[in-house]
Order: sequence, then C-alpha cells, then structure tokens
Amino acid sequence: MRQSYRANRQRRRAISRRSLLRGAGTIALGLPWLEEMQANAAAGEFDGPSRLCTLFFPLGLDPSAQKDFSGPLEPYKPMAERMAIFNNVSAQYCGGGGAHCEQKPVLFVGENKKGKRTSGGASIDLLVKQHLHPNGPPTPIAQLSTGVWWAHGDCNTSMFHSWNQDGTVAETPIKRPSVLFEKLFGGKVPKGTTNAPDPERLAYLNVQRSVLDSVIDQYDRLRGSNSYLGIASREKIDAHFQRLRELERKMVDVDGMLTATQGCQIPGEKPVDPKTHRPYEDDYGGPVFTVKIGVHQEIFRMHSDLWAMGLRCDLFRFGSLFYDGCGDNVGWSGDYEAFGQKNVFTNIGQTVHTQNIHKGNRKMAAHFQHWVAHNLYYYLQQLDDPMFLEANGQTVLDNMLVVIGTEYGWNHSLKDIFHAFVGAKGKFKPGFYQSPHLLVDVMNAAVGLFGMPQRIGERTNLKGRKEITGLLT
Amino acid sequence: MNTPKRAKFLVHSFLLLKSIYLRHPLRWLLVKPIVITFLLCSCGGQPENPDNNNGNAGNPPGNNQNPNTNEPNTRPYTLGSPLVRRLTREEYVYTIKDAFNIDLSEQQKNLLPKERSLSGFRNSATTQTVVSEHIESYQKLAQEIVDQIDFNAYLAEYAPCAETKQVSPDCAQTFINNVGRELFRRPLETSEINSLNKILDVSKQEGFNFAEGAKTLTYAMLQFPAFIYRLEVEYDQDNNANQARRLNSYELASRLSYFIWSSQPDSDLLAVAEKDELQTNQQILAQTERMLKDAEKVQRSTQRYLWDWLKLTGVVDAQASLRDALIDQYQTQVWQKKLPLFNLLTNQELHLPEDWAVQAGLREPLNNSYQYPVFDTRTHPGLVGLFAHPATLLAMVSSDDAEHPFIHRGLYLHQRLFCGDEIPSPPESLRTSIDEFSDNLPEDISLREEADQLHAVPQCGFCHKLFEPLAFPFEPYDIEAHFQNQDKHGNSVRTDGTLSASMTGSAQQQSYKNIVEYMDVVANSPKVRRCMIENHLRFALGRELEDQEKPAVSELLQQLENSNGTYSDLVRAIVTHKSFTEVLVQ
Repeated sequence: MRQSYRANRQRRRAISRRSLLRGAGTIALGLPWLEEMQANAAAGEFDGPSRLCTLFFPLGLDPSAQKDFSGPLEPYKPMAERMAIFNNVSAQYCGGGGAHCEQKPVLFVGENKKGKRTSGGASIDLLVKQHLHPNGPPTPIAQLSTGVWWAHGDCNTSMFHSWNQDGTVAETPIKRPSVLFEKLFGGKVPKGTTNAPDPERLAYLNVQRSVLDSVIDQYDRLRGSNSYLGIASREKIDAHFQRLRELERKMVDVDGMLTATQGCQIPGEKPVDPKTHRPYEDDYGGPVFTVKIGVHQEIFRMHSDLWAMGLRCDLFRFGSLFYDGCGDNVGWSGDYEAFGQKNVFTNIGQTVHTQNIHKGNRKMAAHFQHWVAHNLYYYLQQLDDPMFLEANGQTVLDNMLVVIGTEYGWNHSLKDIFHAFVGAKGKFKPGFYQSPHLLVDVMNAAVGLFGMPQRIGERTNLKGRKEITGLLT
Repeated sequence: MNTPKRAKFLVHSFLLLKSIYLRHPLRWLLVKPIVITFLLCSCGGQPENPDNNNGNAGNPPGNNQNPNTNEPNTRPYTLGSPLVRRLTREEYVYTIKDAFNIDLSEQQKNLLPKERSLSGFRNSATTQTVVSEHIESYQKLAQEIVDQIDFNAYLAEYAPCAETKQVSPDCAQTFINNVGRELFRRPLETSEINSLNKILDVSKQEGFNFAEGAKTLTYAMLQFPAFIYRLEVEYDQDNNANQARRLNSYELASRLSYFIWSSQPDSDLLAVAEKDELQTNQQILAQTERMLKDAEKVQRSTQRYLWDWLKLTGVVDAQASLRDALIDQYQTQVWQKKLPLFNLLTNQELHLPEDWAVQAGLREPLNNSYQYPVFDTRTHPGLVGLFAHPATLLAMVSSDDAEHPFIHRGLYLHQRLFCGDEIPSPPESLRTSIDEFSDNLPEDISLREEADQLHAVPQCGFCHKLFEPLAFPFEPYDIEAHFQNQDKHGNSVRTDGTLSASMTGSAQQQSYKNIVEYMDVVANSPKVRRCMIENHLRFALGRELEDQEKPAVSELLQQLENSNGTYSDLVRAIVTHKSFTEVLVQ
C-alpha cells in the first residue's frame, strides 16, 4: 500500500498546482499537539485517533453495487484495507419524516429527532470533542464545518451537520474557500515579516489584551457549571466562548511561539473562489439551476486542500465536510468517465436526483456515485500524504477517524444506508459489515474508537438488527 | 394504535378488501373505500417509514389537527424552554443607532454574518449559531463605533464629572454604571464592574487618559455577553427549577423593546424598569401604548416580520419596487389605516408601482400620499390583499420553477399561511408513477387540467391535494406575476375551486369563484387565523414554539377576535400573555 503513495503524490501535485494553495511563500508552523501525542504514548494513555471528521455525500449509494470495489466504490480501492463499510444501516427509527434534508438532524447523530429541525442529541463530532477535551480542544479553532452546497428549495437543513446536545445547530458551514482560508490562516503572521511593535503600539496591544481577557471572562462565567442559564443557553454561550478563544489564539505572536516543523505550511496566497453561476451566498431556498461538475469539484478540492493544511498545522481537530447538500436540486453539466464509459450529465432534462432515483437509472446513478467517491477519495488522499508524517510516524489520516455517510439507501429507502470508517490508526478491522445494523450502532462504534464508554441513544425498532461486533482490533 | 400496528392493520385491511372486491359482482361500488384505505396507509405522513413513531399517526402530512374537533393535538399549556437570544444583525444595527445615534454603513452591516433561519423567522434563537465571523465582526464593529463617537458629548452625557482633569474613581464608576445600564439594558453586576475596572486600570497603567479609557470601556462593553445577548438570568437561589417565574422589569423592558421596536429599551422604559413598574399588565400596557406611537421604530419591527413571513428574499432585486410597494402597503394598513389583521388578506387597496399598475389596467390612483400610489383593485380580477399582491406572487415561485407553479405556490401557502406540517418526500414508487404520468399527458393542456388529472391518480392525489389546491386560484398569474386570461397554449384559465374542511379548519368545505372570494375564505379560516397568531407569537418570543405552548395561540386568537382585531390589539394581547411575561427557571 505504502509504495503506491509516491506515484499518487506525483499525480496529485499536477492537480494541486492549479488549486494555487501550494504556491510559493509558504511559512512553517509548529504542531502544538506533537508533544501531547508523545506524552500520551509515553504515559500509556489513550492513543487512539485524536481527530474526527464527518464526511457527507448526497443521494445515497446503490446497495447492489457495493459488494466489492468494482462499482461506485472503485475510487476507494487503494484504501480498501483501511476502510470498514457498513452498507445495511437503518435510520427508520429516527423520525426523519423523509429521505433528504429531513435526515440531516439524524445523520451523524443516530438519535430520534426532537422536532422538524432539531436533532435528538449532539452529533458525534461534538460528542468526541467534549469527551477528549472537556474544557475545549487546545487548538486555535474548536470546530469546523465546511463544504459545497447549492439550492435546495425550502430544504433549509441541507447544509447542517453538527448539532448541539439540545438539538440546535452547532455550526454554520463555510462554502467559500477564501473564507475558509481566512478562518484557518487569516490571523497568522508570515515568518520574518513581523516587526517589533513600538512602545505606543505595545501599550495599545496590552489594553486590547485586557479587554479580550475581560470579555472571555464574562462568557466563561456564564457557561460554567455555576451558571444560572439552562443547558441549551449555556451551550450557545459556550460556542461564543470557544470562538473567542480562537480569536485569542490568533492574537498570539505566532512567530515567537511556534517552532518550525516540516508538516505545517501556510499557503502564501489567499485562494480565489472559482466563479459560479449563482453567488455563493445565494445558497438555499432557491430554484433548480445548473452547476458545472468541474466547478463543484474544484471548490470541493480547495476545501480538501485547506482541510489537510489546517489539520497538519493542528488548527482544529473536529468538524464536518460535505460534498453537496442533500436532495440535490441541481442540474449538473459536464461529463465524467468511469467504468470505461463517458457519462454526460448535461441536458439530461432533470436533476441527477430525478434521473438516478426517480427514474431508476442505475447506470447514471453508478456514474454519479463514482464521481462523488472519486472526489471524496481526493480528500482522503490529502490527509494521507506520506510527505507529512506526524510525531508518531503516522499520516494525518491515520491519526483521525473519518466517518463517511449519506442520507439514504436506494430509492429513498432508510433501510440500506451506506456508512464507512476510514483512518483511525488501524483501530478497527477493515472490511464489509453487511449485517443489518441501526444508525445508532454505527455512531456508537465511531465514538467507541475514541474510548467513549457511554451509548449515544436507545436501540428501538430493532427488527433483527444487531449491534456491531468484531469491529475493534 | 401506534404507527407500525396501524400500518399493518391497514395493509391487512387493504388485502382483505381487495380480495372481497375482486370477487364481488358490484365491485365498482367498492373502489373508493379501497383506494382511500390504501392511501391512508401509504401516505400517512411517513410513507416509507412504517416504523416511525413520531406521534403523527392517523393524520396525513400537513394536518396536525384532531380531525374530530379541528383543535390542535396539544397538551395543556406550559412555558417553553428558555433560550438566550443573540441580537440579530438587524437588532444590532438598530441598537447601535438608538444607543449612539450612529447609522452603520452598508459595509459595516455586511461585516455581520447573514442570519440563517430554518423556519422562516431569522430572530429564532432556536436556530441561532455563533461562528468566528460573528466574534471578529463584533470586535471590529466595536472599534469602528467608538471611533465614530463624539467623546466630548458622550462624556458630558454619561460622566459630566469627567470634565475636570483629575477623574475621581467615583466619576469613573458613574461612567461605567451609566453606559453599562444602557448597553446591558439593566444595572451592571459586580463581576461586570470588576472586569471593567481591570480594563480601566490597565489603560491607566499604559498611560492613557480617562477619555481614552472610556473609549476602551465602551469598546469592551460592546463585546460583553450582556450586550450581545438577551440573557434573562435571575440570580435567585430561591427559584425552583422548572417553575415559571415572572420576568423582572428590566427583562420585560427588553422583551417589549425588541419585539415592538427591534431595538433596546429607551431611557423612559429603563426608568420605568428601574422603579420596577412593569410588573402588572396595566403597567406593561401603558408602556406598550407609548411605544406603539413611535412610528419609525415600530415599522422596523413590522418590516422585519413581513420580510420573513412572506420570504421577500425570493423577490429578485430587479423587482425591488414591487417588494417595497408591498411593504409600504403593509405598513400603511397596519399603522395608519389600522385595519384588522385578517382584513390585510382581503383588502382591495393595493400599493403598486405606477408602471406596474398601468400594465395591469389600473390608471387612477386613489391616493398618492404614501410612498407608492394606492389603487382600488375592485375592477381587477386578481389583485387582493397581501397574498395576491404581485410581490408575494413573485416570492412564491421563481422563473426556474415555472413548470410546477401549483406545487411551489401551494407549498408556500401551506407553510406560511396555513402553518402546515412539512410534506414528506413522496415514496419512490409513487414518484416514478407521477413522472411517467406527466410525460404522457398532452403538452397543450392547462395547468389545472394537468393537476386535475394527476390528482385523479389516487396515489399522487392524496398528498398533492393537501397543498396544490391552495394555489389553484392563482392559475391566471404567469411566472412574472402578470394576470393572463389564457395560458400560453390558449387555454382559458380558472380561478374557481373548493377548499376542504380539513384545509381551512372549518366545519365544511368552502367553494369560491375567484381570487377575491378565495381570499375571503382564507381570511376566515380558523387554521389560517391560528397560523397568523402563531407566527406573531414566534416572532415576539424570538424562538420556535413547543407543542405544549400551542394553547397560547388559541387564547391570543380569542382575545384578538374580541377586540378590534388590529395589529396593535394583537401586540397588547401578546405582551400581557404569560408566554411573554414569564419564563421557566432552569
């Protein structure tokens, strides 16, 4: 497996040159958690994955095509021995009320929804973050949600993947790569360019610092266990507090604090957002319109590149990334070659969703799903780049669990949904887990890899579906 | 009977009836009950999810009412869960305007992230999130705001004692207390005073004078949670968890001002709160009357309400004049003409841009004294009230969805005017049938004929009949909201129809011949009336309603119907209702 990395990397570089994210002028930063990782290993403490990403793709995966890696899963083949695939997962018990955006408050939660647009509990990215770091992660950014999505009628939950314990939305996602870049790297000062501030400037900074301390203190007081606020309100204040901490870390003089390492490189240029048919902000509640598959792919790859860079710099450890919203109210244009054939998405008269699912066009569905997998694999590849090994000699992907999920199975069924685990230091046995399971079982298995002992939600409407066994190595 | 058992029962019933039917010589008489039985099974809200037990058993999607009583299936009224409310983008802008008399520029406003809403109203705390951009914009805006303040006048107002060169500690405290009370909408707490004093100390140590320190203090206060959020925290150990407590006068002052003005309490309201004189309904109503007289501020709030209720973001900028005319109509009818709330749906004096009116054959305006001319539309067959205003028709459906206007308009009305439940995605087997059926229809039939034929297919009709008929009278309107007597194929278009009893919540079905009659039926529909009250209450509370709070809607509706029924009457009813004046202790 490892020998193939170099060849893959050559190919990736050709793509990356276009994405401008690996331009000249990069600067090096340290990985603050390297020491933590080494210390944990030395102390014999939990040495499982330290990061979790939920990775969503829309419109399901035809279960009949999942038996091996010759169908739409083909792009994942190089990682076959590092993936656990659950292709018979039921979310019927979750009160989704429909198959697309109605599933979003359920998808990476696994519990019955509280309301139309409120989840039944926290999504696994938040649960694991809280479990590993009860006082907040030691990274500049506590949580991230980014991805590409377009218009989805009145389906306004289509882009939300992170949910608080009280069922409210935890993260508003970022779509523009340039905004993601700013969030990740905007506050960093390139090495060698900082000038020592003059005394007046220093005095001003000291006052600013005292203001930020006071503001943070006020939020901390309200979010703590002695607060008189209810749980839901405390979570909201805590989210504000965590963002303030991010800002605080950005104010720190990066050059003086961090040590240069090979792994972390800040791109020297801010990326330019690819041109789209509609403004990025005009993102939901709108009608069907056409998106070029090349543009969609380019935006997603820029997100992937930025994620990989951000993770290598340990700017964040938890988040959700998604390849389109749900429901896919988009008419794609362009063509894509898979299985030795070119499939033209342009001018098919309806959205791919209608063609794939409502018209039962399995051939087009397979092409579409192959295209999606091809791009998700690109993201996984970036995380798995052996040029950037971490303190324990592993890649970023090895030190991270990526939970891939989609909203339904075939024909809007909520019974045979595809989910997969990738990464996680080989903590699980790879392979196809074809026995019928519940969504909550998959979520429990995911958080179990982080040593979380408690069960997420109740197992109801079992219909012979059993908990996942034999997963752990 | 729970949902899986019901589904199993109905499937068995279907099979049994089917076997009887196939053997019976008079089987054509039996076809209707069989079809209905089957559909109740297949379209009972969760068509693909027989295991679902989300409590909607027995009702089709879009109907959350008890079919026998037309009353909502709700538990007895209790208060909903309290939530902190972040100032929305608009509330922040108005608060700054009222606190400092500073109009933020468009560029400054755009620093604040766009509010996202899952369910219409952007002030819903249930769905508010905080992202890094909020924090950075609060910081940046705070700096820009203090840079714009005329500090000589500011200090003269909030710390007149600071005129002397040597500022005493007492004088500094005066400044902190005065500014803090206005920005935090209540007196400061000890921890806040201590934090601010620390900042002042650092500022002094770094050699800054008091004016500069005061600037820094204001900059800090604009980022404190007490400014950014409406907290409603009562520090009283004697309060029992999960018991209702009446909000204190400061908290009520904030609720009143952000509901009625979309902004902070003014000095009069804070003075009343300081005297604790917002504890009786009479006291609250006295302030409400005063606040309702501030035309500029009340119109901020009603504009925000209308914008979100009618989803006016759906009107493209090229049609901004139509959108502005609709807002002008609403503001005029609510505040100046003081029309009863439900008459806003049926009134035939529409505000329209001149060119649009001419195109619609309306020539002589009734009145030119408003922002847009007012036309008597009784001579026009299709212009009436808020929902048959061209701006609303544009918001309902865009040109890209031209093929299915009934679906888009129907869903819009179902959600925004009837407060119907979400219509679930149709099951695959049915959707394939619909697509095939549509493909085989002649191309030149009218939209209504197409809908009628589609609805005659039982599997399609049962669900689509729940919302598409709501849009039937709007068939003459093309996608650009122009009224046409014929469609593009030369077919006559229809405006007549029938609304079922379950759609309107009335005792029996009601027919109409045209849009005017339709809007009359709608305005008198118990379901629509409840929906309009529910929307206002959600907006007033700044959060979604929980099921147990729904009886409040009935109580408010009754109060409104016993009054003149104006918007002001509804405001009075809401601000004195316990859902507004009380909160659950956590």
